[in-house]
Amino acid sequence: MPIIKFKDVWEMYRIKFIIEGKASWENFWALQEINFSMEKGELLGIIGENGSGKSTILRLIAGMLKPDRGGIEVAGSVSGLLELGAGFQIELTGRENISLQCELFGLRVDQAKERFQQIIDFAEIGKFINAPVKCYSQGMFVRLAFAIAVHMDSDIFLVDDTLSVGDEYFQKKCIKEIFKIKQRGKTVIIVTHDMAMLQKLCARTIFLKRGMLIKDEETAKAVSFYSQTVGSPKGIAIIERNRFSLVFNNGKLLLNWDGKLITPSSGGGYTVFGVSGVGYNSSQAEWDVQVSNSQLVATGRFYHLAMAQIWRIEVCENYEIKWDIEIELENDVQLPEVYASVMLSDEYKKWFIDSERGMFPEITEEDKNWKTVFLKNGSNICIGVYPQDSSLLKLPSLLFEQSRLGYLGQGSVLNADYFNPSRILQYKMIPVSTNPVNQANRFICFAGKIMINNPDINDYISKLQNEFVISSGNLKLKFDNGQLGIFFDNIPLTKANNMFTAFFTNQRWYSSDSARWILVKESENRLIARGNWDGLGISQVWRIEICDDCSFTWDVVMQVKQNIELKQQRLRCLFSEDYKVFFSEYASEKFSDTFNDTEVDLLQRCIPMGQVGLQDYDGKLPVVSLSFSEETGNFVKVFNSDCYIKARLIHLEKVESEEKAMFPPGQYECFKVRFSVGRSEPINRKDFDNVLKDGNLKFVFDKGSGRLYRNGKEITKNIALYTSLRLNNRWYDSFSSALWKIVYKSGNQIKAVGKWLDLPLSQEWEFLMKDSGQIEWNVVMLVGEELALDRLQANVMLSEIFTRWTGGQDEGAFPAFAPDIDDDWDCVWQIQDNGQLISLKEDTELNLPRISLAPKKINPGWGLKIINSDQYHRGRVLQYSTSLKTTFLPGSYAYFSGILTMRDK
Amino acid sequence: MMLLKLITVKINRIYFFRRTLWNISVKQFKAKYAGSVLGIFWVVINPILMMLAITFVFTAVFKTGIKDFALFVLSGILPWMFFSGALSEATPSLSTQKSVLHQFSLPKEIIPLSIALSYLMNFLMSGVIVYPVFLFQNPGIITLAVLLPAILILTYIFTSGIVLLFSVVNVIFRDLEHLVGTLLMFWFWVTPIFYPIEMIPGNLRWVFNLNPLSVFILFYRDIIFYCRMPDPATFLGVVIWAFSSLSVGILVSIWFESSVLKRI
Repeated sequence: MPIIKFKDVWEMYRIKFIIEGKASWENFWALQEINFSMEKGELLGIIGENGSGKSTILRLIAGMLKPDRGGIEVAGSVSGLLELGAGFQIELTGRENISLQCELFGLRVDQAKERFQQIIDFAEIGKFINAPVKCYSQGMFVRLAFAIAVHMDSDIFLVDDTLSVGDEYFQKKCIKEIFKIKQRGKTVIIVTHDMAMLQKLCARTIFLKRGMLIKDEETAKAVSFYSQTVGSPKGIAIIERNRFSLVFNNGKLLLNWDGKLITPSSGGGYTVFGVSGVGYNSSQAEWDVQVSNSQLVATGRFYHLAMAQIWRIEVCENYEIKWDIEIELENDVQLPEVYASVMLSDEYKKWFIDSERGMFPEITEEDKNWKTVFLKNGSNICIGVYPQDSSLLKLPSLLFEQSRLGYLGQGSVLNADYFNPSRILQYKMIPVSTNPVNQANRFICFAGKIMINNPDINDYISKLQNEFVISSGNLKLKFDNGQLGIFFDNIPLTKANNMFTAFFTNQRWYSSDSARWILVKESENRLIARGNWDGLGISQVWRIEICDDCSFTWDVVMQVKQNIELKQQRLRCLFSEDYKVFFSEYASEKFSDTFNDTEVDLLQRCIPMGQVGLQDYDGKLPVVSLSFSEETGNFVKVFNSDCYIKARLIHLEKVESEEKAMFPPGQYECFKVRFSVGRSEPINRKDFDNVLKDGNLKFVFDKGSGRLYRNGKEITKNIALYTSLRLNNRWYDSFSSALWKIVYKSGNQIKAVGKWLDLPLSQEWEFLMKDSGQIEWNVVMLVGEELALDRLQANVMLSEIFTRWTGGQDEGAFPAFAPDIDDDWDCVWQIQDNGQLISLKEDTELNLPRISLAPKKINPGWGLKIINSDQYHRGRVLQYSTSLKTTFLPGSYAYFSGILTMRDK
Repeated sequence: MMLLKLITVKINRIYFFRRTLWNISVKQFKAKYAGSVLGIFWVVINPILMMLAITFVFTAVFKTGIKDFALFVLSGILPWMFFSGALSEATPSLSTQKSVLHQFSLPKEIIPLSIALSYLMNFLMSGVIVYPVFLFQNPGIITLAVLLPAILILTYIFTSGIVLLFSVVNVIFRDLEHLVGTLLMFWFWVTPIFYPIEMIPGNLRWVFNLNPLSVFILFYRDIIFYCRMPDPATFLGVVIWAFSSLSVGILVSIWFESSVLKRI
């Protein structure tokens, strides 16, 4: 049962006109044949121009008017605010007015009291509540009126445009309140000119025009329709056909597809007549339009120009719109240049003119003028646009064709300015009059056709799009406006922005998708793309070539036209999150399955050269790897992306030092990458076998650290076995500052080499699993250049389960962890220049072994320490170290050699 | 039947807003005497002053022979003042009280009706003080006083009908509000307030029978002054007049509803 029902409602006003003292009465239909109904709990918007009958509808609902014909059913009490100050006694104070309104609404005294404070609190007009209402500003008025109306708790709530008087804060509050009212199951009707607010609030909207209900549908569609038909009513006509509707509005053609406006609401199809250097836009003319079925004839006259134009528009089958423009000239008038244009939404990204095609450059803040993207002369040209991805089909393709008229013509594609971003398809014609000069004449100056969503064009476009693709076997590469995507068996391996390049200059990053690209497809498997950054004097040339069915190369060359500083360049690849593991010659690691708010460099590893790749667990995705040469100075970083993109990132980086960052004009090779896709095994996967096992004991070497497990449970903690050295007050740890590679692996032995990235230094580690729970750890340090190191350490960090220590003859319990987190860990026990056995044991009966470290040899100046780490690490550390500053000459040094023993009690 | 249905719908609607009606009436009643020195006492002072004036004129100047002339006048003056006060204030009310009418879904009838109700309160107040005086003259009227509430309600119903009619007509025919003062004065003279109906010559009696107010005044006078049961014709008269007045008032108000709403 509807709460509000309008059944064929007509409302007439008798209006007295007084012309020169003579009075005459005229009937005026404010509403004609209005039918609609609303269910309880609905939120309805009403839009329309001034005088279209919006407020009359509200008044009828409020019972302030009765319909002259038809019937209205309103099942419930009504409140709201219709006109400013209605119902207020201006001499009374705000407070008195509140009680007056409560009385008028029929509230009992106790009810009124209860709401009194709520109303005052909501209105927030401070001490003015005690001032006469006549002293109020408009805003205060609305605040009070709205507060009162809201708190009457009626079944139906009406809001006229008055809300816009309030400030933004109060408007937001009102909008919130209106939602609350709706949640309480009340019915709300809003009349407004604020389309943005309307779209926030209402799902359904009624559009009124001259007292008639034109549209009653979802808000977005009604609003779009409304904005298209604002204007002089004589010049408005609408033709609808299935998915398409065309609105002619005073010299503008607005096109809608599936209820969505594909032209900007300010523009659309229009003409400009150029007469001696001055352009006369068709929307400036005065129009008169006749419409019949699917045809319309519109005549437009300029005030100050002795010419008129007649548009004949017909919407035919297959969404073809014929658009003929006839021109009528009076005597002695110079023939104008005629521009016929179609302005389109900037959601269109791609254009074509005949067989030329390209992407529209993005419209940025700097674009204050229109910019020609492409231009072609000729007499039979066809121009068109299509959306970024035609498979989504949110926007239809559109083709604008000009029939052969024999005039000299020009077709062009333009970008409009930043303030009104849109795409423009334009024809310029210089008509030749067929009639003798100096005679009034009338002739067709433009005959065009707009084809929307024509399947033939879609075929044509998909052919065009294929030219952005190169493929061989299962491998397919798709170039898309500065981005390269990899497909294997038609499955995309890359995601989001796929793969692109970027460089850092002028304090910001420029990525390749902001460049203008021109493509040459040299063959089925070779593509050359040239991207130009306007205004930067830089362009990139990408050479992409598929070598065989499972690999391709991608070379990036930078062409610099003027001196430019480029500190950093990168090639950024975003791979599917279904890839779970990354591997390189040095390491292999799992990606975290959770993505954080920001790009996470947890997995960041610098790989200076060679190869890096990704694979998944179950082999559903082909292994993908990229190898790059050292010549170009590239190195790789691996990331987990943020949670919005959800991708695995591989960055190929090129970083220049300060003095080399300036690039004079010339050509520079930036990246040279070879991608392999679908090779079943990563090349050196076996090398990653980094585990030693003996009985219940397991040792895992893990890139500069080693972990001990007993019965599958880790007894080391956090950073576990590692070495650390200090230079100029900076620590270089084996697990974070060096790249490791296993060089030998047998049943009970691992040999690994770690190269420090920032120091001329490497270490050779050897782990030997001996019988009965013993592991020997040997460290040899190789120094390449003379190097003065402050401190050197070999550490074993063990679990905090161990609560007691022994050192030589001493024994003790660990204190609590220091609360501050820093490098300065508490030393519990130490000995210098003397070999002792240090060990740890637990206090309770957890059946853990006693674990001890015994160096084979103590170097002079070195000693042993038992250390309690900090609150963050919560580990016990057995350490062999020195804090003497030592200068190392190039050569090889025995750094540490010791035995880690685990002995059960 | 159709008309009856229309009337009941309207009355239902007004009944729905009874609380508003009550609130407005109380407010108006309070507002009337707020600020004056003698305040609420005016409800008594006014009729007494009027009674004194009439008594003076008719006993000292015209030498009327009616026994207890002061009380005779007093018995009829209260219902008259209720009626005339309500009518003179309610007639222009639809145009003067616009702001109330812009209140949502409030039936516009509420306004004249509330004015009538506030005058009824006035009447009650003065009646409570003035009518006990008649007990001294004739204690027997205490038994007839049970009829008082009934005639009060009927008077209110009758007055409601008239004020509705006048207020609605006044919207369409604005001159009515200027005419109403004179009309009331004429009405006062043709209503047997300061003379008994028997003084009217027989051939003019029909004019008085057409005047609905005379039945009401006679009713009051019978029970208060003469201490006698009104005859059945009077009984029937007040009931018929009361309900036909209300029906006409409501029907006119419904009939002109659309145009009235547009004009105010």
